[in-house]
Formats: sequence, structure tokens, C-alpha cells
Amino acid sequence: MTHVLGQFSIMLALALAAAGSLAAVTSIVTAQPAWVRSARNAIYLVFVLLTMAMGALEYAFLSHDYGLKYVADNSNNTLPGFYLATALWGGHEGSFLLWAWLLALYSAVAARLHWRTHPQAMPYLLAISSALLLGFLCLIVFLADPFEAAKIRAADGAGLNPLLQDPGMVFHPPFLYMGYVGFSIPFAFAMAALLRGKVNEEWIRATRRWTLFAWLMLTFGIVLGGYWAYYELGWGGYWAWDPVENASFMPWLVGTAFLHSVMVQETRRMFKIWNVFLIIATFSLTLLGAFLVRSGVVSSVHSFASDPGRGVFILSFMTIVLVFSFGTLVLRGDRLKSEVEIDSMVSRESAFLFNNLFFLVAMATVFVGTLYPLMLEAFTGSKVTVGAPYYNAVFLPIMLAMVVLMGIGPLLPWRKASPEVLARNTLLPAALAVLGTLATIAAGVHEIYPLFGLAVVYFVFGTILRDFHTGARGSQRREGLSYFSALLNAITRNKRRYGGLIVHFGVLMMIVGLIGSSVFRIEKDVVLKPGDSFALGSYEVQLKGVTEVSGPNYSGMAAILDVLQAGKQVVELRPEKRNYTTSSMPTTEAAINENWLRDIYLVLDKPTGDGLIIKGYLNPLVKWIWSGVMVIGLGTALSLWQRRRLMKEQA
Amino acid sequence: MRLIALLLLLLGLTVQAAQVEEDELEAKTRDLSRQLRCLVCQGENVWESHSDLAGQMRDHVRDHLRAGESPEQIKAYLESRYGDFVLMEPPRHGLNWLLWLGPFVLLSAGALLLRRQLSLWRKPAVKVEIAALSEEQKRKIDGELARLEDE
Amino acid sequence: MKGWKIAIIVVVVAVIALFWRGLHMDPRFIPTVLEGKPAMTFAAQEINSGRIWKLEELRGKVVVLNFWASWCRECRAEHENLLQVQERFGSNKDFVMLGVVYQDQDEDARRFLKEWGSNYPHLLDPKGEVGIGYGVSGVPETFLIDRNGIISCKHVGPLVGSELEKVMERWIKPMLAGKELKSCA
Repeated sequence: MTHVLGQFSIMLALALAAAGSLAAVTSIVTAQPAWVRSARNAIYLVFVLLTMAMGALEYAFLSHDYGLKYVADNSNNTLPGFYLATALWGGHEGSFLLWAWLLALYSAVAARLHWRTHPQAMPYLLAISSALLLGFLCLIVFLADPFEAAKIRAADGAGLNPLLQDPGMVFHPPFLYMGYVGFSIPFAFAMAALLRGKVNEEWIRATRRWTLFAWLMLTFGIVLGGYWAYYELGWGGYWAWDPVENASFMPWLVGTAFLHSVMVQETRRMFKIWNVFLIIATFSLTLLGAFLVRSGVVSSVHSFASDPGRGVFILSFMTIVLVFSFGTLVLRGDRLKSEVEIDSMVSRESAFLFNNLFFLVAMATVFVGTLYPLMLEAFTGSKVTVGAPYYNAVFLPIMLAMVVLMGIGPLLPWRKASPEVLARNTLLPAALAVLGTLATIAAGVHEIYPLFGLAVVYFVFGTILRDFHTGARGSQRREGLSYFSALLNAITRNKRRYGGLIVHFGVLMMIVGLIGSSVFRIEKDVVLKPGDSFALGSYEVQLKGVTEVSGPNYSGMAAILDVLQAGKQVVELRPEKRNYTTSSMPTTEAAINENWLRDIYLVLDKPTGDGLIIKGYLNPLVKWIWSGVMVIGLGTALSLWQRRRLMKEQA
Repeated sequence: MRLIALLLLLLGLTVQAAQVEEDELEAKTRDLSRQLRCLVCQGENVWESHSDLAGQMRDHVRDHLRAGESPEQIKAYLESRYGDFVLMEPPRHGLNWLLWLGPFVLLSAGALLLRRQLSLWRKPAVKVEIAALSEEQKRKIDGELARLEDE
Repeated sequence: MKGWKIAIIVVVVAVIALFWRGLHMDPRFIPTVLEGKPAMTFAAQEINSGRIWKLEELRGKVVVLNFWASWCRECRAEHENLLQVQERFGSNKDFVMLGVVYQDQDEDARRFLKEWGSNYPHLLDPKGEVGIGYGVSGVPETFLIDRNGIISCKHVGPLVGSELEKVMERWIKPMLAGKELKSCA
């Protein structure tokens, strides 16, 4: 019953997406409003149908319906409820359905929200959304059907990969897709603007919040992936520069550039073509990401099982989108030309442009690094690996430069910065940087790279503090409030600005965490017998013994380790080695004790004749990374909160 | 598993507990293994991978380090057997320079292009005869401007 | 046309072309770098007799080295063909065929040979040094080593059908007849 309902819903949705695209295109050509209405209703219906399909699939999982191949491949009877419910996107077909459903949701919401305010852009918006949905649904119906029947109905499923049974991994795909899909709306608006030959700032203002929200979702999605890698995979790290990780990072980089660049357009009406280029690039990179992950073209630990048919389809889809969007840009871009006049090389405008430059070069670096092996093999037949050592060497300097810019940019006024103003604005931050660096050296840090990085962090922190302070002071003078109330007053009156500053502060927190946990990490591999101990930084870790563990769908062993400092117990940690009933490979569950200063991270490798192999890591400041992204979330939320009534666009 | 755990516990009761230090050889093996790629895995390095080949390569590295060979020698040997693919980063020769220098070249070229474009966009200075401002007036105006800009 | 427009077109076309090409390539395939290079000398123990075989001692002979494992299905598929190769060329005193047990348990390998037969020596490689020395990353892999101890050709995958014919007719036969191999195809 569910099979039929699910398949039928998807097929009907496909037909409606096709119809909707046609209707929208017709409305553009004939300029008759009735067609636009049909197109909009088509999108609403597609959303309803896909919701039904999702519901059917979810029901199939929850009721252990192994008549569906997808359910049988990704769950089993002992899978705990939470993971059972979220196994829906544990495999290729289901995750694609989730992506399509989110696209339908966003398109429907956009159609509703902007119906009255953007009547001229609406047909284009609907046409593009419908076309994108059509593409996804074709893939699902013909090549990735989650409702495909199993050849024989087994009594139990194959189970979900144990590595995916982790909260981080459960939320990673939805957030990531909300990011990818979120960028499709600004993309559609940009294409509408290009095709109409008009861009006005209402477009930018309307899509600002879509962009901000999508960017935040993508940021969360990426960091969740790192969080999962850290907690679940047990190698003590969170980012490996794997092609699939890079595939999500590239749209983030260009998306960030876009986010900043549109501020210039909003304020100074410049860079229209450039911004359209940026959003097309961002959106294209999300599709490229999908291609890389699912086509099997690059080898990666994260690849879904690859299928050449899917690869061909996604590439074709991507080719159409690329040719259409970049083609329109090349052909029509000139209509958007704005008179660009800059008053000074040292101004916020130019700072934004340099910001764009750095982000784009960063993206190009990751892009070329990821694709170089493919390029080399295509031309010369020989193979190389471009791994973490390369990216660390090349990417970090660029990232540091971007952080510097993050500090200087907000200091510069629009149009022109006079040397006096600049000097005044940088005095406090520079002083903080010097003091902070000295304190850091005194604390025992002598390596150049981290010192320089931290100096930059202190500097930028100083600029942020100064910004808040002058805002509070200004409010104080005007309204005569106490300092704290004045501060709140300033923030609430300009949520966007201070939200942005809070986001930058969150970024600084993450950078501090990244520096701490990469440069200053201590790791030890030891063989322990019960009673033995080893030193980990200022701690002593002692093996008390081993014990058995078991759970709903696994069994295994745990090492009982005492962590001591100066003779007193700090914590007892029990890293585990689990054997899941459905997997032949054992999985490690690292035991982690975290505080603001450091993570103590212990892994049980395996028992040998001489004792237990234990890997111990002391990772400083990791908590700052996860907390930093939460602060980014807060800042973004604040920025989104600033309401601005959408005005009806001028004809 | 259970048997081993039991044995270990018994062992612990009978053998003197010790402060164990990490084997320096192990640390060196780890560092070198991190620079080598596990050929049958998808992008993992030899230290992290659980595959059999990675295990054998780790043993190979350990044995040769113990015998006194330098990391460069061991890497060179493996590279001669498996090709550049076995290294986690592309060796700096030939076409690979494109990769190593590319980002910095791009950045410099981009910055130059940007500078040029900015100077093209810059409004030409307007030559107008104005009565020069007095120092007092200049300071006052700058101060007001600064305060405005701060908000 | 303006510069930026050309740049966009070039990049987009190049990227798409690269991906189309990429769909036809295999990211897991590792090209060999050893063809034409001296074969690694080894001293390995034969699985049943215990005799130590050294590659230097085989100088002047044409050697076929085949890496296999008892757990490898494709090795099972090619096993009869390998026995055939030995039957056909074994009587030639300039021909030596050797098997190398790869990432396997000795007992499992012995059992395999007992069950499926063996007419040539098989060497143990407990630490995998021989495997690494020949750049082996999976099984089965077969090497052709010429009389001067140079690796002439390497074949990845089971020797069945046309591949078997290639090895017998275009590799071993000409080499035993004293001819130079122009290619490994």
C-alpha cells in the first residue's frame, strides 16, 4: 500500500513539476497572469505530494517494511527508534528524496512570501524552481527510486551502517541540504533579474534573508560533519580535506563571498553583475558537490555507492544548469552594468572586493586540489594524491589573510577612509594584539605560525569590542542610559550590524579552536597492562581494567581508564570497541572529556599479547570550535530578526 | 574477546604496574605513516586505515625505521613501487608545481587585477579652487565625521 | 568578447569536459610504475617444501609471478588456467612459474592448494614485503619478468578468456622464443 502511494506521489509530482515549468514559461512568453497562478499551484501540489511520499517512506521504516529494498538496505529490527526514523536519509535514494522535498518546501514558501511583492519576478522564480524540481524528480523516478520493491521480502534488514548511528550524522544531511536548497531561491531571483534585464535593490533585500539562512544552514551542516568525524570516527580530528568534504566547503566559500558582496550592492548599487556571478557560482557548486559525492568520479570515504547511470544524469543536469545560467550571464550580463565609481582604494567597498578575491581564491584552491588528480590522470595517465598535507600548507596562509581582512573591513567607512580615522580605529585593536601576543608568549607558546594567527585574532577581537563600545557610547550620549542598557539599545536598533559582529566573533572562536587543536595537540600511542599509566600533557592516564559492554544492536568491550592530575582523579573514561550485529568491521567509540581548555580523547585500539593498545590525544580548545558555531548561529539569528517590510518592486 | 580481557585482568594483578612511555619508534612510525596513502582505501592515510594492506605498510615502515633508514628513504622506496599515488601530497616536480604555486599565483594575479580595476574606477580628482580650511575647522569636521561613522 | 566572458566560458566548458571524461575513468585503478624496472629480489619460503627461493637464482629464465589469496574469488576463477600455463610451458627449462600467497593465513592457502591442485611452487610472504616490493595492491596480479630480471609486464585481474590467451601467446611464448616484447597488450 505504502509502495503504491509513495511511487504514485512521486510520479505525479514529476508530472506536475513538468506542467508547472511549462505554465511558468508560458506566462513569461504570453504575460498572462492565469498561467502564473497555475505554475504556483503546481509547486504547492508538488510539495504536498512529496510530503506524502516522505510520509509513506517514513512509515515504511517505522513499520519495518522490508518489502522495500531501500528500507531493507538501511535498517533492521534492532535499530533504535531514533536512528530508525532518521534512516530515511541514510542512503542515496532517501537522501535525494529529502533534498527534493526541501526544494519543494522552499519553493512553495518563496512563492507564497513573494507573491505580492515580486509579481514581475514570480514567473521566472516559479519556472526555475519547477525546472529544478523536475530534474531532481526525474532522477528519483528513473534512477533512484526509494520505493523500489525488494526482490524477496527478508525477515530482517541489513541494518544501518554503525558509523551513521550518531546524532551528528543524523542532522548533518538535513542541515547541509537546507543550505544547498536555500541558495536556489536567491539563484532563481538572480536569474529572473538577468532574464528581465533588471536588477534593483529590492531583489537583494528580498533574498538577503534567504541567503543568510541558507548560509547558516550550510555552516551548521559542515560543522556537524566535522563534529561527527571527531566524536564518531576516533582519529582525533574533524576535517580531512576529503573530496566530499571539499564539495560542501566550496559553495560555503563562495556563498560567504556572495553574502558580503551583496551588502555593497545594497548600499552602493554596485557590483550587480558580480553578485549574479557569485550566486550562480554558489548554486552551481552545490550541484557539483552532489555530482562528486554520488557519481563515483573521485574516491572518498564518504561516497555513496556509486552508479554510473546516476553520474551521467547528474552531470547532464548540471551541464544544463551551468550552460543556462552562465550562458545567460554572458549574453545578458551587460544589461546590468552599473556605473561603478570608487572614491578611494582604501574604503569598505574595496575591502569587500578583496574579501571576495580571497574567498574566491580559497575556493579555487580547494577546487583545483580536489580535481587535480582527475585532471592529471585524464592528461597523463599517472595518479597522485592531494591530501591534507597539501591543503594545510596552502590553505592556512590564505585563511589567515581572510581573518585579517575580517578585522579591517568593518573599520573602514564607505567611500573613503581618512588616515586619521583609520589610525584612531586601529589603535585599540593593535594594542590588544600586542598585549595578547605577549601574554601568549608568556604562556609558553613560541611557534611563529600560531603566534601570528593569534595576534590576528586578538586584533580582530579588538575591532569588534571597539565597535560595540562606540555603539554603546553613542547610544548612551543620545539617550542617557546606563552603559548596559545603551549597549542593548544600540544592538536592537541595528540588529544586522551587531549580528554580523557577533558572527565574526563566533568565527574568531572557531579559529582559536582550530589553532589550538591542530598546532598544540599531543598524541600518544601506548601499550598498557592493567595498572600501567602514561603521561598525556599534564595528566596521567591509568588503565584500571576492561569490561564488557552491550547495547540494543551491539556488544563489545570497554577499557576503564582513570585520568589523574597531580594525583587526583579528574575523570574516568571508557573508550569502547563495539561489534554491531550487522557489521563485520568493529567500530571504535572514543571517550572524550571536554572543557574550555582541552579535550582528553581516548581510543581503545585493540588488545594484543603485550596489553591493550590505547591511543590518547590531548586536544586543546576543541570546545571553542563547536561553541563558536553556536555563536555564529546566534549572530545570524539576530541579523535575520531585523525586519524590513518587503516593498512591492517598482515596475 | 572475553578471554583476553580476563587474562589481562589476571596479568594486571600479577605484574608490576608501570609508568609507560610512548615508544619513540611508534611515534616516528605514526608521523611517516600519516604521509603515506592507503592504496586500497578511499583517501585514508596508512596510519588511520584499518585495512590489511595498511597494516602491512605500517609494519614495513616500522621495520625499516628500526633498521635505521630515514623517512625519506622509506618514502622513496614506496614511491618507486607504487608511484606518486602512495604519497599524501603530490611531489613537487613537473606539472605538480601548478598545484603548489597555483593558489599564490592566483592570489597575486587577482590582487593586481583588482588594484588595476579599482584605480580605473576611481573618480578623477576634481580640481576646484576652494578656500583652504583652517586647522580648527578641519579638526572639527573630522571629529563630527568620525562620530557619525562610529554609529 | 570581453575577457571575463571568455574566462567563464572556458572554465565551464573545461570543467564539464573533465567530468565527462572522469565518468569513464576508475578512481580506484592504480597504474603500474614498475614496467621496465628491475624486479625486486626476494628470498621467500615455499609453502609446502620449505625451500627458499631467491629471484637472483632465476636470472636467465623467464619468470611468471602470480599473487593470489585463498579468500579471493577471482583467484579461484583463474586457478585452473594457471595450472594450464604451467602444464604448457613448464617443460621448458627456461620457464619458471611462481605463486605468492598474499595477505593470507598459511593454513588456508595450503588447504586451497590441496583442494584445487598445484603444479608449481608457491611462496609465503608473511610480512607482505614481496607484495610491497612489487607494488601489489590487490589480488590477483600477475607479473612477467624477463631473463635480465626486469619486469616486462603486469596484469591486474584474473587470467581468464582473452587475458589468458594474451599472457600465453603474446607474453610467454615470444619471450621464451627469444623475442623482445614491444608492448604488454
